[in-house]
This record gives sequence, C-alpha cells and structure tokens, in this order.
Amino acid sequence: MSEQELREGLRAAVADEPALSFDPDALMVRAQREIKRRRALFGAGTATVAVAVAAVAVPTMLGSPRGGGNPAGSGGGWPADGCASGSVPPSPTVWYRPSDGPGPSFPYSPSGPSEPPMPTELTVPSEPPSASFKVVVPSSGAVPTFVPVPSGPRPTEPPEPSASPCPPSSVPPPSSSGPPTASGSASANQPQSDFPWPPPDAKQRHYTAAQLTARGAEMRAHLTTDFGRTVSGATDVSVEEFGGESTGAVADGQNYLNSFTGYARNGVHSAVAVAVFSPGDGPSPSQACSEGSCSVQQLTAGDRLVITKIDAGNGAEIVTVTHYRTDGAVVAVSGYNYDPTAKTAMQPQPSMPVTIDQLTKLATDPALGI
Amino acid sequence: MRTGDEERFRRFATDHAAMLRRSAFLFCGDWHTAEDLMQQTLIKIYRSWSRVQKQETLTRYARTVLLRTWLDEKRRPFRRSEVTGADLPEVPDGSADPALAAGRMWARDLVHRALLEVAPGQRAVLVLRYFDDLSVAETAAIMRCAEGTVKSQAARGLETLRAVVARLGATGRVASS
Repeated sequence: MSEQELREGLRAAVADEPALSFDPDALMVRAQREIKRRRALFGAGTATVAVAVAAVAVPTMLGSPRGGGNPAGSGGGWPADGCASGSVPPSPTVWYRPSDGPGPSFPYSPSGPSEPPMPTELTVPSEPPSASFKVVVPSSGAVPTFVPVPSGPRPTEPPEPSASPCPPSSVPPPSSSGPPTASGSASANQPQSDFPWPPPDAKQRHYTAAQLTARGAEMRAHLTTDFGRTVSGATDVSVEEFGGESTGAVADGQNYLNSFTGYARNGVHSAVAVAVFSPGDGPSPSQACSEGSCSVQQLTAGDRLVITKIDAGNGAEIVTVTHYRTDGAVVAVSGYNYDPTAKTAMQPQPSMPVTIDQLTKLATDPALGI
Repeated sequence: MRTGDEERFRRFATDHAAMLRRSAFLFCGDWHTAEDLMQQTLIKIYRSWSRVQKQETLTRYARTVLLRTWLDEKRRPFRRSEVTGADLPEVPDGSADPALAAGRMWARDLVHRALLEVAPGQRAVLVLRYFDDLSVAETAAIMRCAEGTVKSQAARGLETLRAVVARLGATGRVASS
C-alpha cells in the first residue's frame, strides 16, 4: 500500500459520515456549566484545605490544647514540660504526693471545672493511714471525694520542685494580707526544699470513726457561728458535714477531714473548702507548691503558711492557704472565684470573694484541726 | 466571556466541528465516540478561548487538544479495549455502480479496519500526516515530539498497516506497494 492509497483509503473511510447535528450554542451552555462546576469544586476544596490547615495550625500556634498536651489526658492542660504557664492554664488538680518523712501521705487535689464528676461508688480505703488518696472536688458537686491512688508514679504528677525546670513563681506574696498571728519575719518565694516537713517531733494520731465524727461536728458548729465573722458580709452560710471520701463518711484510722462551707457575698454564691490533717499526715510544702504560684511565710511560733494561687482555666482561680503547724498538723483552706458546689456550669467571677487574710484566719484558727 | 468572543468561538466551532469529528473518527473508529471527542475538544478550547483565540495556529491547537483528549479517553479503563466487528459490514451504495461501489467500500473498510489495529501513537501520526496532510514539523508540534519520532512512527505505522492489510486482503483486492 502506497501513501497515496492510504490517503484515498482514509478519505473513503470518512466519506459516509453521518450528518452532523452540532449546535454551538448548546455546546457553549454546556461549557459554561462545566466551568461553574469546576469553580465550585475548586472553592469547596480550597475551603476544606483552609479549615484543615487552621484546625492544625491554630492549636499549634496557641500551644498545647487543653487536655491535649497531657499524655495521660487527666485533668487536662499540663504543659509539655510540666510547668504552669500563663498561656496554658494548668490543671485545677493539685497533687500532694507522699512526703519523704514517716507516716502516711495525702495527695490532695481540689478539682477544677474540667475534672469529670467522680463516680459515686467509691469506697473508703481499708487502711487509710498507709494509703494514698487524691481528693477530687467535682465542679458540679457539693462533696469533695477522695480517690485511692496506686502507689506507683502518676503520669499527671508535676515534677518535684527541686528538679523542676519551672521558673520561680512570678506572683508576689500577699503584702497586706499577713496572718494575724504573724508578727515578724516573712519570707516570700522561699524554695520548698528550705522547708522540711513534717517536723521530727510530729506524733501521728489514730482516730476512730466516732472520734472523727464528733470532731467534725465541733468544727462544723464552730464554722457555722464563726464563718460570718471571719468572712465579713457573708450570708447564707451553710457548713456541710465534715467527712472524707464523701460528705459525713469517715472510717477508723482516717487521718483527715474535709468539708465545704457555702456562703453568699454581694449576691454571689461561692464556697470555701476546709481540709484538716492529723500531725505528720498532711501534704508537704513542696507538694503544695507543685503547681501555680506559691509563697511561704514563716510565723513567729515556728509555724508556716504556704499560699498557692492556681489558674484553673476559663477565668477560674483557686487560692489555698495551708497552715503548717508546729505539731505537724496541716489545715488547708481554699477559696474560689466560682461556686465549686454548684450543680450548674461554672461561672467564674472577676474577683475572689474571699481575701487571703480571711483564708489565713480560717487556716490558722485553732478551733479547726485534728 | 464577552459577546464578541462568543461570536468568534461560535464561528470557529461551526467551521471546525466536522473536521475534528472526522479526525476523531479515524482515531477511535466510532462516530458516536468521535462526536463526544469533538465536543470535549471544543469545550476545552472554549474554557481557554480568551487565551488561545489570538493564536495563528488555532487549527493546529485544536488538533492537539483533540489528540490529547482521545489519548486521555483511551487511558480510561472502560475504553481500553476496542471492539471491532468480526466481519466487514456490507452497506449498499445505490448511487454508484454496484461493482465499483462494492470495491470502494471493501477497500475503505479494509483500510479503516487495518488502521484500528495500528498502535495509537502510530495511528495518530498516520492520520495527521496522510489524512490531515500535515508536514512532519506540524505533526511533531501537535504530538509534542521530535520530528524524527514522527518519521519513525510513520514508517512503523505504515509497515504495520501494510501487514494488516495484507492479512485482511488475502484476496488481493488491495494493491501492495
């Protein structure tokens, strides 16, 4: 086959072509529709990519997301290095880990708003003096609860203050809120290691459930009558029954009691948590200072105050004054700028309804303690 | 698109639709597919009309788009197999001498059927070179390859075509070179 024969054959192949029913206007309408469809598809794809990039980039730029930076996912919001920072609110949970000294220890944790409600079927540990606990206060519940904690290391524990890479606290100690019993030397931001605890002569005590119940009733009655005088302007004072794992629940050998005192001030409802520990069994100062800002004050009688301020996130603050008494007993009183006993969503107030002075008066009140 | 551009495109599409469909038919061997290829080609040209309408070689550009459209179409899974008839169709042509018409028809179908057995790249070269009467340089520009490639593909395509025609035309009705 020559090239000419091929040309003729190709032309002959299309010689019987069917009639062409071609409408250029219809073709243009179809083309315009395809153009619109492609533009819409491109726009949707671009928007999807933008949303995906923003979802990844924004949390990255803002730092660890709340609850996302904590591998354990408990409490939410531990910074990656274990330091409490201003941009990332720390967990409202404060861990009080076992001290180096003799006797039992109490990991103490007033809960913040993100702490999930505790289950109700918790039981009182059989051996309270030798067990470790985490005290959890549900934001929507009225009763602080104690959760048994395994003796092994907890992933959410902040590092020891002595080994912590965190910078020193930037919050100055209260200058005008000194305790009424403090009359002299007060040192702020002392390293926790300078404050050995418990004192060597602390004598542990064993209380029966009946004794604890009776002592709780005495403290409850005292707070009922005296709270309004300490916290001026407080109305609707309601002191819950002292207990342990739940309201009014005590067990033989238990070495702590706690309770909430609800009140209203300037029309805003809040509560103060009171936790008392028997000598040698309270949290150590280093544990108390393991989160948030912390200051230590030494009083004239040799006892000390540890004042901590925790940013619980979403505008919530917790200020705790812990009185380390000379006999080894510990009394911790916490104030909140929201109502930790409320059954509704947390509503932080712009200011703390109680002052550090008032919390200090309560913590140093000799009528409180076991 | 502005009204003037639309009018120019309408005129271009009307003038080139038949030519594009014929080339598409020689590529694919089916008039329906050829019409689809022609319309897809014109739609692609419409989308870039504001950019390509001033090109002097718009016809060559249209052939390039058609070739790419056909090759893309062939790569689709449901297009990978070409269906050809087992026997040559016998279509009567009453307007011509029956004996001559039968001979032309036989030759036409034989060439077309043999062309469909040539590889797509070689087939495209044969269509562009011997149906559209394009030069080697123009064919190379459309196929976006070197002129030497066009020459070699054309030679191999012709060789394949002759072999197929010889096999199909065992009766000797088609002359061989």
